[in-house]
Amino acid sequence: MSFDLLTSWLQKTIVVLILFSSPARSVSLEVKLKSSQQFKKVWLHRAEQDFLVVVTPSGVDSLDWDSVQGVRIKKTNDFHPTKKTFLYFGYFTFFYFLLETMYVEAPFSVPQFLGVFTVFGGSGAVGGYAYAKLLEQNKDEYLSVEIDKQNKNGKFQKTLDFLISNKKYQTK
Amino acid sequence: MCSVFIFLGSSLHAQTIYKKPGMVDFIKNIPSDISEYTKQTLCYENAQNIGAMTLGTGLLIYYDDKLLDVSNNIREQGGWSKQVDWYMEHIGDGYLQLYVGSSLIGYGFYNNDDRALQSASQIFESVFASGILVQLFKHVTGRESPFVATTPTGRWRPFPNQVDYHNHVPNYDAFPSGHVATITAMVVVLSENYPEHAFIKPLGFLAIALNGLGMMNTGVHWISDYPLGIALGYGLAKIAVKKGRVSKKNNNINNSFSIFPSINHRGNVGFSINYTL
Repeated sequence: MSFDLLTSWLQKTIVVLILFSSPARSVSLEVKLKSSQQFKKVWLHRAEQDFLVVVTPSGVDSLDWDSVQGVRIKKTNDFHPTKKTFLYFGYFTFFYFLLETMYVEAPFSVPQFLGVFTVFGGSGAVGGYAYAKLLEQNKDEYLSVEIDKQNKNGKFQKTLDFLISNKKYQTK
Repeated sequence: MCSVFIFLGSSLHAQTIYKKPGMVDFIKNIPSDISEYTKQTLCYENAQNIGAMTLGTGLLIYYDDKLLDVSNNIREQGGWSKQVDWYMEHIGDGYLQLYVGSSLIGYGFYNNDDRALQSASQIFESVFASGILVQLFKHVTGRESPFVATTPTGRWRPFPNQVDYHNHVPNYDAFPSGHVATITAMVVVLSENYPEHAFIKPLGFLAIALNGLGMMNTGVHWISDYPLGIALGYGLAKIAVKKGRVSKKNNNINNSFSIFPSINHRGNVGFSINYTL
């Protein structure tokens, strides 16, 4: 079997679609309570002037802004679309490389099938792990805000306006 | 000093968070998935959909041989090789689903991301569940694949001898398509769990179409094998997705009214009045 996928229009189509896909990655919101020393990730439901409404495994809960010492919005920068496309291209090319290489032995005996299963499962897991690790190397950006409700024109109000207006960051 | 906090909410969408899946949840859920799918499908309310799909499949069966020629013509006009058909066919053979699902596991473990882990679990769950139903249909319907067809649209041998089936699988295993069910299930799980990635649906639908085209060109399926395959993959993926979510529907927070005493960090005592629209 010749490995001619690289030149096929199929892969070009996939690459073009991925190139134009959104590079956005969800930001996360972390909250430090006055009673705590650590930031804790919360799943935002919505932000109100007096309350921050979050989703918890037991239901929807609200945090009084007065009990919050600070919040920070963490944004992990995504890959540049070109780099992302290159990685996706490599990911699927590697899949087909493995498939073609192993299908030389098809039909598989039971031990061979287990081997094929392990190779795909293992390489997929390593690929996902490596992608996450590479992604982490991108610098995370934090917007930290100390809560000062009295300062109506301050950072708190701007952050609140941002959270209220930007439904994208709210829990779906 | 008393203070009263009035909290008005106005959300209309369901709240969703993802629970971490157990190691074998995807296997444990399969019997109930199939049971739920059967209940949801075989009900009076769904009669119109079943009728439409049966009629559609019947029409496609009638034109199967002609549509197979159309598919081959597309390949010839497109100028791609048989090897590309082979690639397209293997979009839905389960290895890609294993590869992508495992990648989500690797990613999910590194980032402690329950959504990725849950997506992987749901892909495996819906793929296995649809695989079971597909195999059941194949063993009952006994339809010939195009490349071994003895009639223009392939002979059907309902309830075939199972020994013959296993000795000559292509003579019996065309209907429905497990490949299409598998890729549909994966696309539905990913698009449901990652709605912010707008490319998943168009890319996924393209993958399903290419998979279908590739299998017609390699002679393993007729186009009429696809509607049931798509329905199985779609329905079982939806069920798996629903089970993997902790959904806080508005009905437990909406239109609720509560009053409770509160004390804030300054020592102010008051009442909190919550009314959620």
